[in-house]
Amino acid sequence: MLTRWSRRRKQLAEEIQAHLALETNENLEAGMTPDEARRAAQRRFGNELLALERSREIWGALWLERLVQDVRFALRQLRTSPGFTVTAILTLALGIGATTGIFSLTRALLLDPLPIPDPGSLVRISLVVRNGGSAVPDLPLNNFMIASLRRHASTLSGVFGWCPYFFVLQQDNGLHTYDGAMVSGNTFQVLGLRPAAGRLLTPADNQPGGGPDGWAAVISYRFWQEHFGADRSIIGKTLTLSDHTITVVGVAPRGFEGVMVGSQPDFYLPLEYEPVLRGANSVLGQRGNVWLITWARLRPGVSFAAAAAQIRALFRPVIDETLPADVLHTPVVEHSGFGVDRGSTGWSTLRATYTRPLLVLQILTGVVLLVGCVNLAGLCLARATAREHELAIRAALGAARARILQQILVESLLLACAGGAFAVGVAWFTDRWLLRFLDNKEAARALAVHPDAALLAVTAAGAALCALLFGLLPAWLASRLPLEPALRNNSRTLSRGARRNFAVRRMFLPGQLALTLALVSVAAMLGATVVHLRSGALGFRPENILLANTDFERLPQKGEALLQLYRRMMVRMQQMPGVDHVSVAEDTPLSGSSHVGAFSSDESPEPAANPFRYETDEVGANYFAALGTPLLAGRDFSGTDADAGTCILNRTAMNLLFPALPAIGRTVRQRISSMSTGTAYTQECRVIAVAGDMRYVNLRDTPPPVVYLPVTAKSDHLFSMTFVIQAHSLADARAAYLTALHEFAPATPNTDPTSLAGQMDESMARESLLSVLSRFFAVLALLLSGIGIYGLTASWVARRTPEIGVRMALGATRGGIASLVLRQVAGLLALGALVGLPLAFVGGRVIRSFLYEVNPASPGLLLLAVALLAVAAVAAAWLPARRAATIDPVEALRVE
Amino acid sequence: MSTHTRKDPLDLLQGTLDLLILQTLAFGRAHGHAIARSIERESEEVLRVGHGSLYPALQRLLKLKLIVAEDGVSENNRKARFYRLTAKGRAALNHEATQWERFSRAMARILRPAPQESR
Repeated sequence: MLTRWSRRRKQLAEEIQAHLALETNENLEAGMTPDEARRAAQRRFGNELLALERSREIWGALWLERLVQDVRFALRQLRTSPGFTVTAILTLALGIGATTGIFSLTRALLLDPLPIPDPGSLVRISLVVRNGGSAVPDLPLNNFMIASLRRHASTLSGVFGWCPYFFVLQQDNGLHTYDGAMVSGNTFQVLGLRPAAGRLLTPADNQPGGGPDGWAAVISYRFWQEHFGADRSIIGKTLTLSDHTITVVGVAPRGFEGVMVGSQPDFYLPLEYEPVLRGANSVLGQRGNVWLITWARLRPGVSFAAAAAQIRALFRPVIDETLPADVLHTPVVEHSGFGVDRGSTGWSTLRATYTRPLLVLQILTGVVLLVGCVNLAGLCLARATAREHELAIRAALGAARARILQQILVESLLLACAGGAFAVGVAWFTDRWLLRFLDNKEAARALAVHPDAALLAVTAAGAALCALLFGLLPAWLASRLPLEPALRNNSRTLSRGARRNFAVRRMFLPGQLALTLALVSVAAMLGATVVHLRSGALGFRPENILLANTDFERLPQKGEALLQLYRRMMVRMQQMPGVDHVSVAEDTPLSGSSHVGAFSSDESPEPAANPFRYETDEVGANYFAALGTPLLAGRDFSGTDADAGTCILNRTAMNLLFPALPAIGRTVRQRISSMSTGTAYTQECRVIAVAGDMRYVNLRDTPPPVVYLPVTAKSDHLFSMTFVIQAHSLADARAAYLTALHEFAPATPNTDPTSLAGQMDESMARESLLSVLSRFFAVLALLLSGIGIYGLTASWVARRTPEIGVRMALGATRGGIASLVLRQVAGLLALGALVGLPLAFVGGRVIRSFLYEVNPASPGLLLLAVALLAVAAVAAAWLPARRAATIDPVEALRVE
Repeated sequence: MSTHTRKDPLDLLQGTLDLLILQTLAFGRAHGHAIARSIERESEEVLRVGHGSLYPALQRLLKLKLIVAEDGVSENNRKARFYRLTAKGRAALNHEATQWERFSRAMARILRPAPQESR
């Protein structure tokens, strides 16, 4: 199309020339001189160019040709100033890339709805347990409560329970663990799903002992493809799952990954399978145990608020029906209730931890992008000033203001496009890096699932927005130039337009500096937090300690035999080279989970308000030695049957239970309520030692009181303890564990051991993530501000060159000139700091829940931030200052 | 006949110019310069058209398919583009000419009313 137009244009031009030639000829014949003839012909014709343009207008789609013209021109302009172009593209790529990279993780975790019909009507029901001052939300329910809700909740059209579980599949090449879930019979109906093959589970399958097809199981689409090649003949066949026979009755729809975000369950089994799977440890029949994540659908026409109100009001009727009498009237239950949340995006544990950090990061990237755009706006203004003369000529030749605006805007758009293209690459890198940092399988799956088309669209939108942000103002200002002063060919006296441009740039810079200061302060605060968290007194020595979870649920040994198995394994591991201490524990420090108990003594009876304020752990012999926690008095557990009836307190527990007298030899009472039978009984133990305090549930809280009990054959979770192996190196510890496992329990699946140091790092993963990324953004912002200062200072020096020449001629020293330049920068810096310090304070308050022992208004911290900014500013202004100081006064004063 | 739908002074001029061009071409094909000269001559120099405004008008008529263009050789042996009427153009010319005549008769009656019977 473009070539056709240029051909037509040429044709028309030729035609007009022919016309003029004819007219000239006639004039010649009429007797005029050649010159007169030609001039007369041209006068008669009128404006040739106008004729051409108006004809062109009639052909239509003029805008396209103009756009192409603008693009070509813009490309040429950008090529002639590579410094500006590269800076701009880099700024945009980093800013937009980081923003969209983090946005894609945010979206994956927070925004994406489940792939089910009408996700908006799905709700999640949870228990909120209020214990004294604290509230624990998001606790699961149980099947009795679900049955009760089904009976009473008229606003819900279906309620189901979901229990995530790991199944062990017997395959040709051994045992492999797969993610899965045990679900209520009506789950798939409530979710509204259709099978990809076969059928889905129904309430008929959820019977004790199995349904009509025995133990019916639904497999995931992915599993079906990968392991059976999507062959329909698998329907109706049996598999051996966790040592039991199950029948595959159907395949879940493609893309359905359950309701837990980030997990990829491959097997769905009915809830009644649970007692078969877990035998004596089954919780299905226990009225007081809670273990089922509960979901429901709203009836059509019912609003979320109405349903939530009804469900909350049903708390007392439901627990009256279901909880055992003993638990029913405890103060904890009195103050608890149901929580109701929207379920359209499923549920994610990662979401709970990372929502706020991700939002904070999103804001930080937004600030960096803003600083970048302001920077670019300043640079564009500088360019517009340089092109003033050319633009004035265009306007004089008849270009409409809109046309000039369009031309400059096209340049911004081109930069934004290039920046956006690179931004996609930066976003990809950001995501890979985030994944490696988080080192979390759930995050990896969440990010991997996403189509990149949406990411590209977001990137494109971001780029366009940026182009408008940084291009519009300079373009608009440039198009409003007063013509006459700009046309005057005098580069010494600056036109009003150029002066106004410079003033605008001077105005931008303090704002940029303020934002940068806020970013640097926030980064400093988060960095200090991480340092404090790491260096705080831990109470244990985390180096070279391996933590290995066990999964002995399906071993034939139970009770006493299982305990002996543990002891033999520990002895074996102790013998291995490089191993110093081996122990076992139910909970380890900073694992994120713990158990609480109600303890009392003669001096310190159980408080009515918060009886469960003690942490309790079951540990083996040498536990404290392995962790490097000192025993302040008494002796350790022996690891034999003589441990029965003894306990070890930590110092805080000792102070609470025995404030006046020494603790060794005294008796501690524990009140234990059985969740299944509802009865309570008291257990006594004799204190044999006092251990040092250690950070327990997380790094922030002060060490809580802990009562350590010995591991016995009657321990509740004997099948799932954690070996604590302290060795000369992690490799030694790992080798010891694998050897012992292979020797004594080869049929158990290998759970991946972690190190205590790694567990500690993971407990502060959020803070580390925030610290590292905020530092990166702060450096980026400092760089951008530096570029801005450099540009402005260079312009300033260029403008004032004659004045500097005069000063030098009058005797000013080089140092004096340099300090003159730096004073200009100092002024802007002071203004920026003035605005930036309150911003930094506000920023600190916003993130205060992430900070640890850091005061947002701490003068030392803020001073450090200001100092960093000042160093960056001086470094940026140094080169122009040097150039100013080395100006030759004769050159400067020479009039062009 | 005009490509614009609004009626402003410029428009009227455009419409008029289009009609004049069509009429000129009714007598046979001609190139741009010849059309301009012909209009001036036939109107006894009353209508002087800026030659430059001729060409946009020709493009407009081309777009409306009332005329077609073909290459040829002009009087002084230069390459030139000749225009001639299409059937559609001829029909449009007849229609517009009739309209114009009616219009001018009406104007004449208003501007020189028949003497009223008075006193």
